[in-house]
Amino acid sequence: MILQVTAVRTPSPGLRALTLVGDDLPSYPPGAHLPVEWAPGRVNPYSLTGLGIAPETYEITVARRSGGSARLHGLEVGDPVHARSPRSGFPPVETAAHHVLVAGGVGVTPLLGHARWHAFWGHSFEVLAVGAPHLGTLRELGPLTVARDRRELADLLRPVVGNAPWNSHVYTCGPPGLIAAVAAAARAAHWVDARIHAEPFVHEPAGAPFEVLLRRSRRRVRVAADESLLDAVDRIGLPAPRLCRQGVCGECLTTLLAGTAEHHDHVDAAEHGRIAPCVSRAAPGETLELDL
Amino acid sequence: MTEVGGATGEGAYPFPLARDTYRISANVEPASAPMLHVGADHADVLALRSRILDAEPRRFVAAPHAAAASWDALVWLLDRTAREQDGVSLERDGLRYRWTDPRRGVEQEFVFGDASTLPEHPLTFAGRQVEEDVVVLGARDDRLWLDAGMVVFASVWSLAFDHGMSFAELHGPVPSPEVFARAERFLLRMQPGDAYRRLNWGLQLDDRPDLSLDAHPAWGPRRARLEVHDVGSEVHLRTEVQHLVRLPMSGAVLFLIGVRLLPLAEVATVPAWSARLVSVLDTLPEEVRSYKDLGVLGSMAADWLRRSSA
Repeated sequence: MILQVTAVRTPSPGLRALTLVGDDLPSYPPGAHLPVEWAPGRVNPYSLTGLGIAPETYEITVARRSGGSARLHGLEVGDPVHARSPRSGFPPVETAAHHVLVAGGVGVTPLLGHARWHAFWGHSFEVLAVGAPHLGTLRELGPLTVARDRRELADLLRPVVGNAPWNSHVYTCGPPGLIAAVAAAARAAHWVDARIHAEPFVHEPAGAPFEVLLRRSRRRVRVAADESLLDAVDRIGLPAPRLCRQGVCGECLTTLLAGTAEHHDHVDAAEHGRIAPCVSRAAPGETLELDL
Repeated sequence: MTEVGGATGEGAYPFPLARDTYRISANVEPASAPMLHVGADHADVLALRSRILDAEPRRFVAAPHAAAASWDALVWLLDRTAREQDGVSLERDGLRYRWTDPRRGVEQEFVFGDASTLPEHPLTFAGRQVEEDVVVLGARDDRLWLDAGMVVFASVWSLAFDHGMSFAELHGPVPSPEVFARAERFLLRMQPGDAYRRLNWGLQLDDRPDLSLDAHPAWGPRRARLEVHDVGSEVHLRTEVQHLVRLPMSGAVLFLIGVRLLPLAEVATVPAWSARLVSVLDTLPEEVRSYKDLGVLGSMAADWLRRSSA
């Protein structure tokens, strides 16, 4: 579908909040993302931050990185945006007695959708945020605690998970370290894993171009600035497993034989001498050698 | 509910057997319009649905946590009806809706999510507007759960008994559990707005759509005695047109079951259908024959169809 930018705001430096309109916008569940096609065949997902009940507009917040997000930061009111139908990825659990939403940085975006949903339906919820934009909106929706830094967040979180009613659920969106800290705090308070939910930042594949040597197939491939290592391997026709393309599922993990990588996965690939080609890249100036 | 046959054309009977043998499978295909059926007896079917529900309130269940999914189902069903059926409309201004079905003189305004603006639960209000039975399956913990529904035409099951069960538990009596484990994974991967269709089938002794366990005293004894005088007019092929929709706002799965009954005499008017049903009944695996309760009824139907085509 083709959408049009009707408002551009800067909620904090490096972030751009876009309001998009279109005909007959499909509804979407909390935590859904909008796949935005920022160049032909190049799609990045952005969390929808509004209430998805018969929405008049789509709201997304984009952190400036490179590739697609740089392109979106250049958009002005009136510009067209190509998008696909919203996809669900991080929904709330409707049976929860209470929802604890923990937001780190721009990871607040899917949880803003959650907060709007819970406020609409009168569900019990609270938000803990660190370094997050949109605090004014969150404060209007319900109870909000803002931490100065990660350490203070951990201190604030302990009594929350300790005192929350039975069958509360916690949802964290932010960097892997925050996700791990929240999960540890909840487990320490005897929460079962089924009540602990997290969505890591969806990392964009783009970065500086680099070269990869594929030892087993004796091929050399150049990874362009706006493609992922996995896409580059695809391009030359090598079969490589994959599933989530977000560095979460571990399907695409490959042994890293030589070279220094910038790891962006959430499965500790580096510790095992491996790399997740869907999200990770070469460190500046490095050439990687893979067992592919 | 009972219809005349015809293999082609508008309103053609959805003959459910795609091959000469039948095995239990998920057999889903992408849905296409119309998803909601409007038969010649539309008003009668809707009146019957309301009569059964009003007499037996347990044909409706809804867990408290299914509120959002129920409203989601209501708006999806009314919107779908308005898109597919002439004269019917669903107008919206923000969260305020107006539903009009002039065929039945129904006009209702409501505010989305505000229970005080509807005369009854959103799911029973929706269930009275369509011929299909309505089930809402919530997605949690990588599984589906029967959270809510209005089902008055169940085929040998009971909504009230099944309320709260997981997808695996719901299909406990079915012979091929692995098929349903795969189906559940498929359904959980559906994206908001996705819609699929599948057909299920059986045979029954009359044209009663309500074969629920709740109403077993009304139909069970005759079925047990296999009391049939005229096979061609009394024994019916029961096809269930099932739709599976990932509801857009809540992510719940909406399961719609439309019942379409065709007397064997009408099946016999399409030789290809008759031959296929005979072949399927002759080759049905024992566990499927037993699950569908076709031990004697299946051979009775096959014999009749063979004789009538000879």
